[in-house]
Amino acid sequence: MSEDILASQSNNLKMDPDRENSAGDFVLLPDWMDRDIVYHPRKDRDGFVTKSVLKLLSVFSRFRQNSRVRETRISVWVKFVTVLTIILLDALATNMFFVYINLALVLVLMVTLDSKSLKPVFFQAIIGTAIAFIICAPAVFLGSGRSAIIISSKVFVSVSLVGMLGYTSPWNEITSSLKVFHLPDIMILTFDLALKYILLLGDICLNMLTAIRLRMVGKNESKESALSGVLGNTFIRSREMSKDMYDAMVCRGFEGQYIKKKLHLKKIDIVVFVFLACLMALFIYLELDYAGSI
Amino acid sequence: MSNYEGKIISCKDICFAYDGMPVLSHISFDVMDGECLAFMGPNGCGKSTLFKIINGLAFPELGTYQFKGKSIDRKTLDDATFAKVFHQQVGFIFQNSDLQLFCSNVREELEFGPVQMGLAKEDIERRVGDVAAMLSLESLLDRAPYHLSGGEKKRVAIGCILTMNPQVLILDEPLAGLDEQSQKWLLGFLQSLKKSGKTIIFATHDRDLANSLADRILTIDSNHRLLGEMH
Amino acid sequence: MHIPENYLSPSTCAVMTVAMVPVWARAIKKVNAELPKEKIPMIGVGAAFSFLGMMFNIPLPGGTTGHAVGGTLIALLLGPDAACLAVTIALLIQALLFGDGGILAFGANCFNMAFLLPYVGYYVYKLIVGNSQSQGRKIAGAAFGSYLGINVAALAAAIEFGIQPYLFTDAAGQALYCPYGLGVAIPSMLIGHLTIFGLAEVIYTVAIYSFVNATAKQEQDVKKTNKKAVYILMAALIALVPLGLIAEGTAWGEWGADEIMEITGLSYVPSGLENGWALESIFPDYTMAGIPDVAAYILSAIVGVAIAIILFRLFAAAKKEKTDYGTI
Repeated sequence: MSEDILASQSNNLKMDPDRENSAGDFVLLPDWMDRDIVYHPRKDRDGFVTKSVLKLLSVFSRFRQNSRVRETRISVWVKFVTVLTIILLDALATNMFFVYINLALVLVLMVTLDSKSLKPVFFQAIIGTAIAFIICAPAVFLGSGRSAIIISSKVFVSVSLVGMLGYTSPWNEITSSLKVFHLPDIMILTFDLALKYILLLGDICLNMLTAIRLRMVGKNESKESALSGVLGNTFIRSREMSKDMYDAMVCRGFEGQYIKKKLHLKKIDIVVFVFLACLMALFIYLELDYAGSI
Repeated sequence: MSNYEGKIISCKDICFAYDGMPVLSHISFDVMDGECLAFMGPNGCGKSTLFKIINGLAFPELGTYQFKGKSIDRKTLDDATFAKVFHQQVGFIFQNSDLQLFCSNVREELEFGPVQMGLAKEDIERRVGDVAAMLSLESLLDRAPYHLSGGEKKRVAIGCILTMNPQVLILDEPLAGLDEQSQKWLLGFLQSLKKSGKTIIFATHDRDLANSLADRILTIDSNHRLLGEMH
Repeated sequence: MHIPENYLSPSTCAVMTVAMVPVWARAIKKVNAELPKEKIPMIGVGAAFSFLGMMFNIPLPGGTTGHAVGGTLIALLLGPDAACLAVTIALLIQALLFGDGGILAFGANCFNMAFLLPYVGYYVYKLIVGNSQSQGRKIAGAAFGSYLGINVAALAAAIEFGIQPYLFTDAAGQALYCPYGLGVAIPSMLIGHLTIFGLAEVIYTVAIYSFVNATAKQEQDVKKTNKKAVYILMAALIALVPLGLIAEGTAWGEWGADEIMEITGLSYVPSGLENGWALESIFPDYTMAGIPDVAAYILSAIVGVAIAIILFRLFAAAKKEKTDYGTI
């Protein structure tokens, strides 16, 4: 390290915060601070920090992705109800023909996605399906060979549908659409708060994890203390934040009531419902007609 | 709330402590109707606590706080009707807008206050529309508050207070974390609010802001006492 | 431990959801009564905290890592009723927005992780701590509570999986949902949870709980307090971890993207794949039996074309993933 860099650093270091910054008013640095050190760190595995950081970053990128989603023509609550109904029918079906129709439907819907959403939705579904297939494959020896095919096709349909819902709808509208199921408004408020705080607290966690990683220059004997520090601090911060949040609500006249607006029905939504009704009719027809034909 | 002779806020000898550590000692001051007052002082001098007291979120251990001649304490705020009127008239804009926003989308944020006040639907819509136009929030109305940028969040936080049409606006570090352009905009906005006759109280570390906006500057020192006034 | 879609029958899911309704109702009622309105934001914040906790990898001996569910910790910090609601919302976010755990299986997942886990964990803690103020007992309580909590939850999930093949088969006697009976499901779930995941849960709960406790009470000397019982439990679990790692390719019932490789490493897969991955075996002739030829033909064409377009677009998207920074 060159002389003048050290000199300018110590200038900053020696400033006494409680006094006026007048020139020449220095605190003496201990002598070891003026010397360079040769340091050979011991080997350590700190994969848990890196893994946790990656996991958090993936959550953040999902949020970022979602912030770019613009309104779709079909109301989100209608999409939500439709997805749920199809998943239910799909799970109930004992008839491969119906599952196959759903598969075609889902694939066609997927084609209409934009490229940015198509990739994650498709891979999420493929991975879920592959896992289901592999998990169920050994069941061949238990005499349930065909379940692998039935279950993995069904998994593909439901995982893709949930993926498409999440990737094409602003999350705040998905939470609002929970009102269809007569969820109390206060639960919807809580859901929204949770989403917001995942971002806020996640950011705090991420910063602390980064700070830990930067300071992990040797062997860390008590890894749990790093973990407890990050999550413990975050929890304490979260308690303070929730207190402040309540204050903010009181300032705006909150008295324990939170009123969500009713949901509206657009013209295109009716088309979706008609389609859904047809699908249900087909389901019933097929279940009666082809029962046990798998 | 009647006879208060223009003294909208009157604090007398206010003391407050957290776990025996004093945070405010013997603070006394008055704020006149339509006045703009700045608080300055080092970190940890008690500005934020003072603002909590002014907003009825904390109560002084000693001393009295009167709003429009009516004492604000635990007992008076237990009266829900009075508390609502009080909170409608005193709007508090937090330093951290993140803590202030809690609804699904910006429109609900703006509607929240008026809905709690029980206003008619057309009235609410008009207020939301006007405030959104004033703060250029029209294009953000359906978005989730957590997806907005810092400057946008601040505008929403201000908007959700303005839709309640408070008489007094209290801002904690209004410029903190904003970029240069947003700072300029906010300064101009506060100046126009001041001209329209709103009472504004704010805390800041920015002497330029205090000088250009405030009628009076009060300073709290690191011993939590009020220093002399500067004009 | 998140049960995915289609592994449980819709009727099982319905039963579990119905079972959760009174639990939720009671939790909301108790939270309303005991935690007044000030605490309403805390449940949302607690849910966010719970969600984030599940994102964390816990360092385990030997350089491996594990995940915790953290339900017991939330119960110790917020009380079991608030924890039930907080974990419920965290699970809802995972199912709905992150595709983790099925939507129909949501009730079952809540039953295991938002009901059994926090309540068992909390009451075991209470049983051990009693009226004692000793830090050592509190920490022992947290350790045993979280360990039992997660294992009870895992057992419940295993039973839910395991009863499927007895109850739901098609006309040909083939399982419609999870094809493994109790004899396979219970050991598969429990070996992992008695060892690796149990240990991860204990480390997670004890570390954070003692941190929050110490900070809240300004007692900096917790580390010195008697934690013998915890050490014994930990030592036993640590000894068991290698066993768990050998027996356990992954969290049974929570087959995630990064684990598929591990699963394919298992010995039975090749024999399972003997039937071949060839396209005709995915939709073999018999699966199409009874479907009118024309319909089958049209559907196959639609599926084929859609898959082709999707693959083509994925290929195209992979190529031009550049950000446009504009011109200088």
